[in-house]
Amino acid sequence: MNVPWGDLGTVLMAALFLGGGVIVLYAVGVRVLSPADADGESTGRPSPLRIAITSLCFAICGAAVGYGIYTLL
Amino acid sequence: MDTLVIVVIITALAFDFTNGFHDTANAMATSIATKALRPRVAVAISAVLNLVGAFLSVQVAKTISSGLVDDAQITPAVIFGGLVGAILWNLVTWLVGLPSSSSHALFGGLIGATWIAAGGDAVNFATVVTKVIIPAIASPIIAGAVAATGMFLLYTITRRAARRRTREGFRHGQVVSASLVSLAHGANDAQKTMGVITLVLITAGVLGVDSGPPLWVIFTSGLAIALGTYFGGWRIIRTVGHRLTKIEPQQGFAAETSAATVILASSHLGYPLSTTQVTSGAVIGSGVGKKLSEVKWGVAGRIAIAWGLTLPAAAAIGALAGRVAISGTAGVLIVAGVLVALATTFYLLSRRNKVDRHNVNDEPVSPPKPKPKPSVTSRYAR
Repeated sequence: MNVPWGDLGTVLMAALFLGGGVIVLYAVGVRVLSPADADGESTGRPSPLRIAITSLCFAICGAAVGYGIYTLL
Repeated sequence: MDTLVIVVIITALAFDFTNGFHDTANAMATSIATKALRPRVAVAISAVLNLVGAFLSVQVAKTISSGLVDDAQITPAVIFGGLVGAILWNLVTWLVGLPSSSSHALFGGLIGATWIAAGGDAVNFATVVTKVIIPAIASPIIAGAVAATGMFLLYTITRRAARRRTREGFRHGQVVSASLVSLAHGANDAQKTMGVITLVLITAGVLGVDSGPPLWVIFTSGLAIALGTYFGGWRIIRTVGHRLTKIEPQQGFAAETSAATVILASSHLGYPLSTTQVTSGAVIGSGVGKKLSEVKWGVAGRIAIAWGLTLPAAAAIGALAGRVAISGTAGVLIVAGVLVALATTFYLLSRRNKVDRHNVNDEPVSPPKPKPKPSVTSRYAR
């Protein structure tokens, strides 16, 4: 019996790095876009720099989604 | 085309329909539970993406049994028996609201029907272990590990962010990742029905050997799974969305992103895993990553039991149906009649405790506790 442990390990590592990477990048984007005071309330509109950093994070996540769709073809 | 071929094609499309409504929860249960999308909108988006996904690839459609059984032994009657086993197991698990794998149900049905028609030698048990049983154990663990890790990092990063804006941000992200799961589901699962119909057409001499699925087969398979998705398996959506763990948008995003990544990575490496098991594992993992005690382990245990039973139960039903079906056209019609009668019975039973888009997000009602009678001392105390 030839159990493909190597393939399962590859799936785990790929999912951990790619899935975890997208989650972290998106979380960073949301975090940067949501400055808060000590009570967790919004402190107003984010600065242009914050918007730019968030846009970059979301763009990379969007590219990852695009690559995911590409792998289906 | 003779009667048997037509009956098998209709039954294959019926299986595809049950596959759709059974698996709607995989993609959309978390988005519905967190109210990121209204229930009807969620199932409509999922249905359209399943239909689109069906047109993306036909690679899986070229082999329906994935080497689990000897394809040379598969006849239309055997396929019919296998489909009946898969449909009935899908309906039973839907009725009790348990997310089980439609692919494993189909494999189980085919194994049972082939075994009864051609003997045990026609079943590749080593392949069953390596392609079904080990992935069934590994896939929820992998998805759960990815979701738990992602959830832990996500909460650490956003702990001091503005709460309302954070929830909104993850709601949007959750819709995108759930949509990707829907697309991947359509691409993978609709192909199984295409493969079944194509093989029946080849064995009937309608298509040449090594033919791919014709356009009408691709379209009807995609349409059947999309319609099933649109009807929505609300019972299973309620279990995955509310009964496994309390889901917030952050968890929904982590679960669906992890599920999508695991499904796409495994498909890309040619190692298809069950979408249902991956998604359920990811939802549990997202609960573990937030707080271990938030997972309702009793419900998770019931789901695990259903996963363990799927292959043998569908195989037993498939064997029984296959045994009657291989006796001839009369046998096929008898099995078809029993299938319709049982499906109608399951539907009527589901109406007693109806779950639909109106009450899918209702909290489970626990029975009221009886009021304690005032004791003698408390009466004197007054």
